[in-house]
Amino acid sequence: MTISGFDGVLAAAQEGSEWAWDILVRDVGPRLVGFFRTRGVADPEALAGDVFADLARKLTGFAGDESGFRSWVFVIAYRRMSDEWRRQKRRPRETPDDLTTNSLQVAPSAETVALEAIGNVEAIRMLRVLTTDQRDVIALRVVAELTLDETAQVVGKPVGAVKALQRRGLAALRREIERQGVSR
Amino acid sequence: MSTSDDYLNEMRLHQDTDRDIERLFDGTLDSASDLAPLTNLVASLRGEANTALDEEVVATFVQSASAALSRQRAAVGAAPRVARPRASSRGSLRRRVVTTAMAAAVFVGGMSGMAIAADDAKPGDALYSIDRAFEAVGIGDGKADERLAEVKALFDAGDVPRGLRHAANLVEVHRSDHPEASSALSDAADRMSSGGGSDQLVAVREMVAGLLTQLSARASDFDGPLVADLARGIGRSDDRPGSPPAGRPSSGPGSSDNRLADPPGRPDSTPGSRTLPDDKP
Repeated sequence: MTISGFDGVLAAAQEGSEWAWDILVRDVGPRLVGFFRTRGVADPEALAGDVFADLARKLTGFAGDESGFRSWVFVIAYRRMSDEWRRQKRRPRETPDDLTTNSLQVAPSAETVALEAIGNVEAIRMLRVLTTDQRDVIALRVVAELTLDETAQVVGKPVGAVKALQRRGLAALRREIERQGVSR
Repeated sequence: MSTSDDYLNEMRLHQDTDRDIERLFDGTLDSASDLAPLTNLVASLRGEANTALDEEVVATFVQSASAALSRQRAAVGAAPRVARPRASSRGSLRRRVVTTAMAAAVFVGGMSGMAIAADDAKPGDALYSIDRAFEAVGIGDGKADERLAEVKALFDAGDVPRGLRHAANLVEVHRSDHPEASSALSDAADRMSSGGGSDQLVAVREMVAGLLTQLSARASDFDGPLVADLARGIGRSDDRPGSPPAGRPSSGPGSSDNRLADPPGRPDSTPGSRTLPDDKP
């Protein structure tokens, strides 16, 4: 998704125009909440609200294009999430029982038997087989829809390391899908 | 095979995998790929990002941002001040109070709430000058919209470049038959942003006052060439206090440093006339 007239919207948001914030929230909000939910944050909407408050305080110092803005948003979100976890001194709840279920309609086939009716909740549960770093990278790439470079910037790792994390993470997920397929 | 061959093979494998991963993420993966079994999982996860937020949640997020901005600006206004010469401190304090009150009202209550609050202001109140300014540019009796109020708020806050840029956008949208005016305003914003005009604020304020009066005029009375002319005069190196562009009245030694907080023109001034508003008797 792209924001039409991003520069004007950004300038207006920096001035505090609510219409501009409304555009920014509608654009980045779903990905932000989705990222937190995918990462197992207990109250993703509350944390997203905190991120928007952070953004408002820091936005006057931001200069860049739309891509830069999105990665900057997730840099702040990632730090917020890390701070939240440190504050709670525990890992996030890994069983998201209260997640919204948007079941994906999957055509049954022999090859994809393990993927029948994978909904959002089940997909997120499947991420438990990943390490924390792998989950961060996969969530940022898939849910936040960031590029490799943007993801590397958010997690503070070299692009090569991010590539390796997503390779290993996806390989682990594939093995998990095959294992579940065999066990059914 | 040698160790280097193994290394090269692994590298090629990684490159192929990385390419397939990008295709998996952008939805163009070939069904024969080793990663094909992950297609539905990725699509399902992506559903998280494509779920629109409830209107209530959107409103909450916008309010979070607005409240944070409001608190930040209020904190800036309440920050301890560095001692300044007594002669200028009163005006500075007055402006700071007015600007802080405006910023808080803009972000907490919206501009309509601001106009209502200011309508009740009396001489001596912090909001009184805003009340008079709003009367002058039409806020409060329905003649101007929120965008114009935002332009004025920026000028009042002393942020002339952003005020000009916002004014350029406003003219571009609402007075689209005057592209020369919006273009000249953008150019003026660029000049002010790059440091031009920093030593000629009084002359700039006088021209800004004229701009505000013009921007508040009805569409049929809007004088695009005059606005362009005013904008072209802003940020020029040959403008100095007391030496406005040719054909413009001098601000003179009596020009107030708070000119922007005062009304840019009388309510009964003729918006379409090609003269600058003159609030001197």
